[in-house]
Amino acid sequence: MRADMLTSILSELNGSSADIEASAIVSTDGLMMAALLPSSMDEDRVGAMSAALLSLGDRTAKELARGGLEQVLIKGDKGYILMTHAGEDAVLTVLAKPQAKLGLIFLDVKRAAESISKVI
Amino acid sequence: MNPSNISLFQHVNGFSPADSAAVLAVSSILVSMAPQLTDKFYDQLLSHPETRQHIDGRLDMLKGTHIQWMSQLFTGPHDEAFFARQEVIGVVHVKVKIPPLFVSSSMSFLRHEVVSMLHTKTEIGELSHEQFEAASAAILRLLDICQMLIDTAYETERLRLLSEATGMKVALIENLIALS
Repeated sequence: MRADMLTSILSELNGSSADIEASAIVSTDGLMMAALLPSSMDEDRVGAMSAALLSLGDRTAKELARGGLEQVLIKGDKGYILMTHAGEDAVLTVLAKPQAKLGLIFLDVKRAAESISKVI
Repeated sequence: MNPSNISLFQHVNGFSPADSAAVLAVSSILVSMAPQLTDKFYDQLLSHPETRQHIDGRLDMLKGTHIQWMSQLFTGPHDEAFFARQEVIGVVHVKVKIPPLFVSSSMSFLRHEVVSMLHTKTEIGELSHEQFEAASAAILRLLDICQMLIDTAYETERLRLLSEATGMKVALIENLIALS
């Protein structure tokens, strides 16, 4: 039931922009809770790495006096990986195309994260 | 550590009540060897600059602690409280930043020296050959358990420190390790 709701939020998020290629919701322990990822991607790896990066981002923001973490953004030549908290116990990870308009995606991701936190 | 893990280790390494009895049967000889064994052990540590820096200025205190540890090892009882103390020893070693390499090499030195000293006692007739065989095997198993508990304490403490430094939960770190 909860997994279906989470998947539904991801589905809506992925449909909100053609630039969003995939997304996943991960526990802060790194375990996958829901995912709409390409079959070529290993969910366990995506889960653990997303949670790890967000934890490190949290700690880095704190250590370098940047305040509370809002998001972690990674840019590669084939696109973006965006991670953000979805409530206290989950991480929302989004994969976007290289030419993606990030401003719009940030808004959609923020909205999705809020919905996820209500479900979790 | 979970007591069932200690039981599992003992099951595989073979340390039994008979082993404990074999150690206790010659404990007076073993305890009498402890000061000499400790001196040899610290001579060995002092002979290398890297291990020496952890000892300088604390030699007498460390020797006293070591003799006390050996005496407990030789007189038992080898019960849950004994094993719990070995875990505490591990935590203390991590806290004072003794590298794990020093612990494993020290245990290796002690394994060799204890057996060598017991062998000498056998040659001069203080121990029977059977007592030597039984006590040597038992002490080697006991030292292996001690090292396992100390190693485990190191691993646990290092995970905790990594968790503290990165903000990652220990469960997440375990999941990352499991990926490889």
